Parts: sequence; C-alpha cells; structure tokens
Amino acid sequence: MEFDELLRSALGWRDLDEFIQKLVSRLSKEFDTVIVNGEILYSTRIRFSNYRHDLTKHMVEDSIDVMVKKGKSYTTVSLDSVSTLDLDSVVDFIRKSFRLIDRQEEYIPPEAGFETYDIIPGVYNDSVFDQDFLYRLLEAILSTDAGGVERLSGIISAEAGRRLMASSYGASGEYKYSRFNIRVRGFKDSELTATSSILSTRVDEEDAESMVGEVSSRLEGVDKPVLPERRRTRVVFTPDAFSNLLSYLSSMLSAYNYYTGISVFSGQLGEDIGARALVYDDPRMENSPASITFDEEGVPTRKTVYIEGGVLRDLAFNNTLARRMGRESNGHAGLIIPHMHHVVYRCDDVARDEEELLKTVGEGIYITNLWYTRYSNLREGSLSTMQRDVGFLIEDGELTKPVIGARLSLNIKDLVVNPILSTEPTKWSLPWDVDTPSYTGYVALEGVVVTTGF
Amino acid sequence: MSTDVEVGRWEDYVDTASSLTGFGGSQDISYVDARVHEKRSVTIVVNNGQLVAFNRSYEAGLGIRVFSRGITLYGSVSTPSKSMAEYVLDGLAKRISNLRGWGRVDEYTLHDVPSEDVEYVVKEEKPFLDNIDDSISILTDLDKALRDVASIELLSRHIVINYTLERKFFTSSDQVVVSSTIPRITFFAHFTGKDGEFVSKNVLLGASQGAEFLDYDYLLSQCRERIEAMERVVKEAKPIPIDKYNVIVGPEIAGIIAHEAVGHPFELDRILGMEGAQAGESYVSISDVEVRRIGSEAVTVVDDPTYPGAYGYYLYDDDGMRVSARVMIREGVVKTLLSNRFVASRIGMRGNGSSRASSYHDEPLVRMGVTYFQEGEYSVDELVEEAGRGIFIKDYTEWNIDDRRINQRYTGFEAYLIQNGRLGPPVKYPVLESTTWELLSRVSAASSEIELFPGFCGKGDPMQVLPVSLGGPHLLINNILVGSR
Repeated sequence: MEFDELLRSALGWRDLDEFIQKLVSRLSKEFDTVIVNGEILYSTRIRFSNYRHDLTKHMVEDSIDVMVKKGKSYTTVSLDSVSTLDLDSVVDFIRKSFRLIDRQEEYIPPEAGFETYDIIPGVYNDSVFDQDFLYRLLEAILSTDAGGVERLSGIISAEAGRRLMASSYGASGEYKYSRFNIRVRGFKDSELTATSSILSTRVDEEDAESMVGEVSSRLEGVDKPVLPERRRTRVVFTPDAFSNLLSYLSSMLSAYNYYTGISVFSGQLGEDIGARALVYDDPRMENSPASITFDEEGVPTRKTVYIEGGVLRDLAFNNTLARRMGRESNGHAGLIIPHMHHVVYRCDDVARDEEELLKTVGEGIYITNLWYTRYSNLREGSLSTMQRDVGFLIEDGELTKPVIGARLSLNIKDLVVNPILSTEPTKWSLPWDVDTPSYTGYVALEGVVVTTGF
Repeated sequence: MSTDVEVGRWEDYVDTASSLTGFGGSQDISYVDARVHEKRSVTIVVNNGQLVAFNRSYEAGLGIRVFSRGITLYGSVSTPSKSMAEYVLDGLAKRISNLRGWGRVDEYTLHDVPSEDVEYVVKEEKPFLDNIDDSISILTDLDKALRDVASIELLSRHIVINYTLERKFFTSSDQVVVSSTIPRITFFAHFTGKDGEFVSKNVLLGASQGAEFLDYDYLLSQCRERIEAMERVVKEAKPIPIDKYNVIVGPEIAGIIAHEAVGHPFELDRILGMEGAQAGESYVSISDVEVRRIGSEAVTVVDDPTYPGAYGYYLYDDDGMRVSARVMIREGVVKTLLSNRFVASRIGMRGNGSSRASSYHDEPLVRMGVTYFQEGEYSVDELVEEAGRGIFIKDYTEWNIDDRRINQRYTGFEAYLIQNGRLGPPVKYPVLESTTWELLSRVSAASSEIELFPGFCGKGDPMQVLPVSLGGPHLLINNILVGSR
C-alpha cells in the first residue's frame, strides 16, 4: 500500500467501534454506568522557517476514554494505542482501578441516550489527507512575493478525526471532522513582524497566497516602531488577537469553574452582569472547523447563548452539574469538566466594518496578536497579556505609527462589560497557545491599561 | 498491592524499533531513528473535600524519524506492527526522494555521535503505582486539615496529584541504543479565598520520584504557608508607590527568570528562527557566544538535566546523546547555547543533549531540562541587610514575556517592604516590569542555597508540554522600577 493511501485510510485503521461496543457490553454487566469515548486522530504538519522546509510529521493516534460508575464511586481510564490492547486486560485494568475508589462526589449520568445524531454538513473534507496538496500549499506560500518581508515562518496543519461514543444507557454514535490550521508569520526584521492565520475546513492555493499578502501589506512601509506610553486607553483587537482572550473567557463559562467558585462569574447566573456583548457557541454550524455532533455523554450539541442582553444566561453544562444546578445538560460534557466547544462573540454595538470601528474609537492602540495571557488573580479575573507582532497607534480614527512592546492589563470581564463596539464575526481563529477556537470580528475595548518593560 | 497491568506490548514495540534502523532497504535516506515512548499516568483531583476525578492513562507508540541531506521527516504509529512501521518508513523514504531537488531545503549533514548502548532507571523508593490508595488518602486528609486552617473564607480548595512513569527506548542507524525509565510526580493546589476581596494562590511542587515525594507534613506546611500569605495579602498588604527599589526575589521568581529570559532565548532553534511562528524567537545571536555580556558578574545560569531528583531530570536526550550541565551564562557572559544534533548540524555546531519530545507522536525539539541561577555566598538575612531599602518578593502570581524574551513582567504575591535592612510590612501585588538585560545587569548578589520548582514548558506545534525544573537562590536586584498592580 502506498503511504499516502495509508494515511487516507487512517480513520478506518482500527476496529475501534467494535472494540468499544464489546467493552461497553462487558463492563455493563458489573457497573451501573459505562461510558466509552473513542477517537482516531490523523494529522500532518509541515513546518517551515526562513522560506525553507524544516520538518514534516505525520501522526495517527487512536485512543479511548472509559468511565465506569457503581454506587457512589466512579473512575476514568484513558488508553492510547487501542490496537495493542486486549479486551480482557482492559477490563481487568478498569476493575483494579475502580477498587481503589471508596466514595466520592456524585456523578449523574444522563437517564437515556440518543442512538442517532444529525450529520452536520461541511465539517469533513478529505483533502486534508492529500499530501501533494499540502506541499502545493507550502509552495504557494513560499513562492508568493512577500514584498519587504525578510523571513517567513509558519506551519500547515491538516487534521481529521473520527469520534465514537457508546454507553450503558443507550447513547451511541460517531462522526468525522477535519480542518486546516495554517499560520504564516513574516519578519521584516527582528522587531517588526506580522501573522496571518486560517482555521477552516477547506483551503486552496489562493488562500495560502492571500495569507502572505496579508502579512506583507501589514508590514509594508512600516518602520521605526515606537514603544507605548503607560496609560489607560482604548484598544482595538483584530480577530486573531481577540481570539486569545476569548479562550480565557470560555473557561470562566464552564459550569465546573462556576460551581467550584473559581469563575469570575460564580454566583451570577441569571443576573444582569452589565454585559454589552453577545457570547454563544453553536457546535452545529455548517462548514465550521469547530463543530461537534455530540458531547462526551452522548448528548447532542446545540446552540447555547451564554451572555445576552446584559445577562449571564447559561453556562457550559454536563449532566451532573446541570442536575445539581436544576437544569438540563446543554451538550458540553467533559464528564468532569464541561467546556464551551468554541466562542462566538459580538458586541451589542456593531460597526459596519473595520474602518467604521476605528473611526468610532478615535484614539487608542491597535493589537494584531497576543500571547502569554496570565491571570494575576483568577477569581477576580485580573490578567495581563503580551503584544506579539506589530501594532499601531490609532489617531483620529486612523492607524498611524507602528507600536511594539505593549503589555495589556485588564479584567476578563471587560470583554463583555467594557466593549465599545465590534464588527460582525467573520473569522475563525485558534492561536498557537490556546485551546478553544473562536469566531469573531474586530473588537474595541475601553479602559485597558498599557505598559511596557522597555 | 500492585494495581498495574500490562495493557501494552513494550517488547513488541522495542523489537519493531530495532528492526527499522537498517533503513528498511531504502537508498533514499542516510539516517533513521526509532523511539518507543510509553507513559503511564495517574491523576487524582480533590475539590472542596470531594474526590472529583481519579484517572489512569496509558499511551505507547513508536516515533520514526528519517533524514537525508537536510530533509527531516517524522512519522508515528500507535501499534507495534512491523508491517505498519515499515509502511511508514517506506513512505517517508519516498517522500524524501520526492522532496530532493525541490529548492526549499537547506542541505546539511548530521554531525557524528558516539555509539551507545545504555539503560538508566530512576528508582522509586515507594513505587507510586503500588501505592495509589495511600496517595488518595494523603490528598483527602490534607484537604480536611486545610479546611479550617484559614482565618479568611476559603471558597475553593482544588488539589491535584499527577504521576507519570515515562519509559523510552531509542535506537538509531548510528549504533545508539538508549533505554530509560523516569517517574515524575507533581502536587498542585489552587486556593481561592475572600475577605472583602478575592484572593487566589497556587502551589506547585514536584520531583522525579514516586510516592515517597508525598510527605504529608511537607505538603501541609507548604499549603499552610501559601494560605497564610493569602491572608496577609488581603488583610495587611498595601500597594507601594512606583519607584526604584532594591529588590530581592525568591527562588520561584529567580527560576521563572532563568527559564523564560535565559533558557528559552538560548535555544538554538529559536535563534535560527525555526520557532518563529510558534514559541517565538530570541535576543541572542550565535556570535554572542563567549563575547556578549548580558548580566553582572553575579549572574551564572545553568541548565543541568542531570540534577538528581529534579522534575526535569534526564541523562540522554531524544537524539541519543549524553547530556551534562550546560553553563549558559557565566559571570554575566554568554557561554553556551542549548542545541540538539539536528539543529546544531545545520550550522556546523554540535548538539549538547537538548533534544526532547513529549510523546511518541511528537518530534524532538531543543528543550530545557533543569534551569537555574547558580548560588552565591550570602544568607537571605544578609541579602536583606544589603538591600537596605527595598522590596522582598517571595513568589509570583503572574508573569509574561515577549516573543524575543526581552520585555517581561512578574507580579509578586507574598512580598514585604525592606526598611533599614529588615523585613517590614507586607506589600500588595508589586509589579516588576523590565527587560532581560536590565534585570540581569542589576543582580548584585545571590543567596547560598537554591530551590527548584517543577514547570510545564510548551513549544512546537501542536504544543508539546514537557516536564522541566526551574529555580535558583534568592537574588538581590539593585535599583529597579517596581510599582503596584
């Protein structure tokens, strides 16, 4: 078999569905509740720097996560390399692990399962397996005229997965997904840099070329960057920059963090929190690189609105936390820690486009990329985050001098209580150092403290 | 009682790996290595007195790397099947053939390495996998003891033990065979309290040990110390005016400076731009070695993965090279960069044992192991006396740094004024925001004992998180700007 063909067939490599069904059947004879989630994950990543190929890596990984519950106790077991596993030894391993648990916090499984799930159109595309296509994308990136950009670095990531789920209470299903995540970073010199990214189920060579164009145009004519003044000011974030902060907002909207008292929103569910933004996830969006058919308890996903009309309306729930708080699961399990599947964000005040947004903001700083977001007080929500890539001063509604070295201090709540306005969401993004994708536009926040170590 | 079971087939993987280094008959590749990488992990989570999670995990697989004249390809399989591994090796060889002459590859050859055939094992005095039930008891007992310890309202107590037994078998076409077994354990606690305002604090401790690390009295004292500091922060601490102070930072902050502002920028792949779109770049250039002064004579920073018992401990890297202590900065001058065989060979240098991968499906990258400021000759009391007027910042609650590792900030948690050479009242959230060279050039003295902390270091894409250690002595940094959050 040719290697490319082997990779193309990766999602069918294992009899994972059969193994999972047998495992549920065996374990159901001795446990009250059994939940098994399985996944086969394929990825190819091509890394490049200085206009040169550095490394290509291919991965095919298969894994299962098993939960068994009996009486007041439960345990979870995660096993990789399912093809190496023998059913008897897995059952034995789970039994022995379970015996270590005496009594613990209650886990409440769903009462009944779903055996059929709607297929979400456009979330799976097998071009991710086409190795020649991936190298053509790289060639398109490296051969596009980047103007005065001295160096280009980045990564082409193509991945696909097949998720399976079975349980003792009847939930059972599977779905496939795929996505490209491409990042190109250009260096005019060691200080002046810009990044373009694509997170999508489909890309072509023109998309790849346009990424270089975006990097090039952001750096065109830019030199002599200035350091920011220490001040409280307005900040405009590009979708990629704001996506970093939205990932941190998403963890504050997990029912686990809320319930255990470490969310900045703890105690405010159903209350007016003074928000002026809409926050939701919609895992059933068609053609989305972040759609999920069902959660880890087999509950079908659905659009969930978290913040709307000023009010904290909902949290990401699994069944246990939903029941404990008198609600129904909204399809966001994590068996222990539920989580948002992605974040869609829009301010209540919406600008027609970036230009109108900048005009409205008038004065401030424009930030294109962030990293190293860290809380100084998790429960309070205070954090600082670091500018990455060139930014700009905003003067009279126009981008003027390039800025480097800004550190932004704000409260995670500011994302929803202190926005000025945004454009409509138009871009999917998943920055390098965060876990939760987001779909957003350009966003302006009021009252961000800007400092620098320079 | 041992509760572990053989869920994988280690010997089969080793057998398959050993069979690959004869190139699978291919003429297209000049070098092959194969790494069997297995991890057995246990995670125990207690939240507000309840055991909320007990998870055991097992992963194993085979990573295969091929190289020819500057082209590096990596593939992994999660099966010990020889035929599957040969398919992958054959596929990588064919792709190398396709890429040759492409013009997008810099040609170079790998430097030679000594042949090896070694095995090393870090023994656990009290094997964790045989003592899981004891470990759960320690955690739940600890939580009970902490419940009533605070004089402020403790809203949340979140305590986690994570244990991983990492086992590797590396073999290459250069007659290198290295086997290793290293246990690693961390204790993490996050406390949230309230006394008019909210206050949060983490505790993170760890080592390359087994269950013997979980000494109840030690863990209790460490947690109590942090909770008492939380009380002082909300009840007594006052902000300070922004000004220049003589600052003493504790080993936790010294460690994060050593890791972020020295270790990372000394990684050769960053210096060459290879992490440009991922973990970032560096202020260091290759021509700085032996020439550039970036700190005072009191600054010596070392990365020594062979530090016994440290969380980031290892003896051989994932290129099969023996590692030893690397002095990155000696008395303020750049001395040694961190490199591995594949990156160093690009520019005619030699690797020095920094190649590490976090799992079988990840390629090795240039990484740190155990990074710390070397100790000085002062006692902490002498440093305080020397400081005269200043701030003592024991630990941090927040930090970040820019892409080239210059512009950084550390927000202190437990901190005190220093008045007339003595510790005074607590200071609230002091912020040290500066540049690498300002910080390093103003270090005037160090205490005589170092302390190490565990860390989880991220690099690559997808981000590979690796166990490391970071630390140092107390450092006196003169005349530097500090404000309040």
